[in-house]
Amino acid sequence: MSFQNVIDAGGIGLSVTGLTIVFISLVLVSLFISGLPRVLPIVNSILPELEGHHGAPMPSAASPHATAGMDDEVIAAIGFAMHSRGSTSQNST
Amino acid sequence: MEILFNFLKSTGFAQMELGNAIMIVIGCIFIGLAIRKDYEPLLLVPIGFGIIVGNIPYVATMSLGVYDSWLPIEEGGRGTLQGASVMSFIYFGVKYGLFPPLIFLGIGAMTDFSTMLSNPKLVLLGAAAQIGVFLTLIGALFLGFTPQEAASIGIIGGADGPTAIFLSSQLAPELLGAIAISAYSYMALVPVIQPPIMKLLTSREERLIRMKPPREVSRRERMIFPVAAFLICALIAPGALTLLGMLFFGNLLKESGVTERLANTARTALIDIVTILLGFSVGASTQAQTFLKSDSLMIFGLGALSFAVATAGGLLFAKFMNLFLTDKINPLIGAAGVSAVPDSARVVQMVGQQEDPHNMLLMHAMAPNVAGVIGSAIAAGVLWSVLVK
Repeated sequence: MSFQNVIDAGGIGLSVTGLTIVFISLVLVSLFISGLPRVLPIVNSILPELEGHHGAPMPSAASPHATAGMDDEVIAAIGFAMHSRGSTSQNST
Repeated sequence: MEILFNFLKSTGFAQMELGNAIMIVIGCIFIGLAIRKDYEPLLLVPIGFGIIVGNIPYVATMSLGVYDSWLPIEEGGRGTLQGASVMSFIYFGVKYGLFPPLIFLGIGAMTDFSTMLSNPKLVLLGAAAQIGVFLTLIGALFLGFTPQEAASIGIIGGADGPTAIFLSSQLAPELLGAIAISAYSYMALVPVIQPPIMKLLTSREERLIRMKPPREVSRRERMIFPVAAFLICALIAPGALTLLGMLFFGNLLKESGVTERLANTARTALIDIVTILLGFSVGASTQAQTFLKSDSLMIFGLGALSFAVATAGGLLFAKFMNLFLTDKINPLIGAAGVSAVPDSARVVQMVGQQEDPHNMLLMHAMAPNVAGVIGSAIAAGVLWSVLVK
């Protein structure tokens, strides 16, 4: 039990260097995070984020066109139904 | 009759030593703390029961313990394993550092870095708390441990069980059991260790500081972060590659939005299985004959010191930052820089609410908390790189 053990093993240098490296790494991470909101608008202008991509169920890889086609059909059906209802209500008024 | 006498001699009762009995009592205390006090039950119950299992004496020629290791023997051109026990196969994941990265994968898949991304200066608190690691390293050297052992003991101050196991398995496998038990014990005791230090080092006015709510973070930021942060950290400290790689990979699985199934498995089934195996086998590695030594007691003492220093380091650095900030931060959140996720953040919330029940510090404390996970992994990587033989 002696401070000589610490000196012989280079304990002070190891601790100072280690803590400095941890700080530098996390400072760089912090700087990156700080800069990210400024860089993102530029990135977004080049690579726009896909609307409704995240959180929405992924289209099946096997039949992407089939899913897209079905969406169009559904939209067309809803549009037709609303148009019909609008025409009916106008007529009844 | 002779068979009966031989059998009686082989029972655990006949072979029980005082050390085994003490360890069994310690195992029961761990289980009691987990059930009665709700201290880290997911860890203390497996570890506690593992301690009991590991301290049942058995006939030396039977392969039952974690240290009954593999002896590959060639028989007729075919490799067989002799002397290996089931427990030693489970302990393989601890001994060779397999379990810690898998736990980091699960932690990454369940961690939301949003609060850290919304307030990047809080990352520095995670760095400041690592002073506990390096001051304890000096303390362990002072007590006569080798640099490799001292580094493994110091990393207990990172308050990160998997990181402590990972580093000690690489640098000081002979101390693995004591370090793992010490790290997990103190992680479980975070609600006991931290509050007195937090109250001692802060004034009531400081504890009452309310912080601005965090800004909303875009999904794209959350997706870019794990890749960029991994590159920054791993290129500086490649020793942390395995731990940080799995942590950020898990987080990317969560944030990418296209691998929800994988992220869900990583943060539920996978991490649960690994926690069970890790906790149980670490507990079983504490056989009295290898565990009850003066070194273990010193490791426990140094572990407590490192937790206290780490907590104080984070708190004092938060107060130091407040000297330069217009929007003051509540210094209590500095205590969450030790990476016991999410317990130290919960303790911050608890201590903060004792002064002001409407002050919500939990989300703010999660920022230094997750930064502490990254910081302790980098510290482990640096120590491993420098001290590897």
